Amino acid sequence: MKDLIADIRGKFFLLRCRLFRKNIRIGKRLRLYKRFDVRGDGTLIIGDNCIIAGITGDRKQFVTLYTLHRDARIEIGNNAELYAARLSSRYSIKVGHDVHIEESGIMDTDFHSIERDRGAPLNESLDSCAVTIGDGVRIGARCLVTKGVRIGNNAVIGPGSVVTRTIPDSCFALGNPARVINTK
Amino acid sequence: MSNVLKFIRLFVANPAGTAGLLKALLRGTLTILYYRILNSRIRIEFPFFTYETFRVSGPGKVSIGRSCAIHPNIFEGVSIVTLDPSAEVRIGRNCSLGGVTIRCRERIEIGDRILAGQSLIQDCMLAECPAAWAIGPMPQEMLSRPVRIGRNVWIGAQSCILCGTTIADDSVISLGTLCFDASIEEYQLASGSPSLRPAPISRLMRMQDMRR
Repeated sequence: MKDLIADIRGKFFLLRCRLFRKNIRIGKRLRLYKRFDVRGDGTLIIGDNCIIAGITGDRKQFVTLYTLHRDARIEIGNNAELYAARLSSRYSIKVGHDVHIEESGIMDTDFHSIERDRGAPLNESLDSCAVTIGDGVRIGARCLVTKGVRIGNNAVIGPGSVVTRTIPDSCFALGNPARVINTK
Repeated sequence: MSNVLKFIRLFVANPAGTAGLLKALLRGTLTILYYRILNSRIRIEFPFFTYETFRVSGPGKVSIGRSCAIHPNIFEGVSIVTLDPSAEVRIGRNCSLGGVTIRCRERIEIGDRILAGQSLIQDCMLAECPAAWAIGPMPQEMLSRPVRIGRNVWIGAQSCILCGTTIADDSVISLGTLCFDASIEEYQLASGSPSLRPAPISRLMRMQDMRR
């Protein structure tokens, strides 16, 4: 019953995107289990068979995909499972296929500079700030992925960690800053 | 009789606080009745004080000892989730929990007299089951391992206690600590993310004395 309602909500969302929001492109069979918030006029591409849901044990949080600029770009592959994930992009966030993200934030900008006027951050560019997340990555609850990070294929990030540097393929990382504990 | 006198004295000294206590007691009693009628797998003993929202969901067993209190902490109450029918959460007596999220797939044991801030206690890596697990075998570090917390432990805010952690009696988990597969012995202070070397509190106290 829940799955049926999620399917219908997804279809409505697809229809709404096709009519009013040309910058959003979503593949087939989106399932919406909870509120889904998309803001900004950047490009957003989501693949087929995606699940958008809240996390168990928390009623407030939902999936948010924000694009903060016209050139911003969020790409999510097929079979992605987003449970209360918060993505906000100024440049580019690329997420691979079969990923699983729980209650964590991914952002590719610092939002403000460390100067006194707190203006737009300096020295930020597409090359240095783009976030890339590989295929089959699993990210646990209460994680944070900061700008310029590349997470390799099939990596696992434990709950509560802050990823500030690149994580290689097929390994398990944990802590603040996230360190590689072991490789599979 | 002496209890009544004590209560009257408390009411005279601090009327607002006592009224809050009575309200929490009433709310807690209603919670106990609600779960006793609707869900026999959840057992809460009287008295139970809920100052904030208290939620239990999932198919597993939950048991909470007597005179536990749910306090508000960063506007959050306690939510306990059991993710598996064989999961079991056991909380001891006289606990004061605030803003704790417990996600249990196998077994979580919490002793008496726990003080806890807004934190996450989870005995598995991922709360939701990825679709790929239904096909292939589970990776080694994804398997759930039971969490055991002893008596009189103080758990700081924004800390994560993850699978395989055992914490002995009288220990302190400081703010923002991440415990993964750690074993913290009796009367030790754990800090850092991830927590690697817990320090004995008696030694820390001695060092503090020396500095004076």
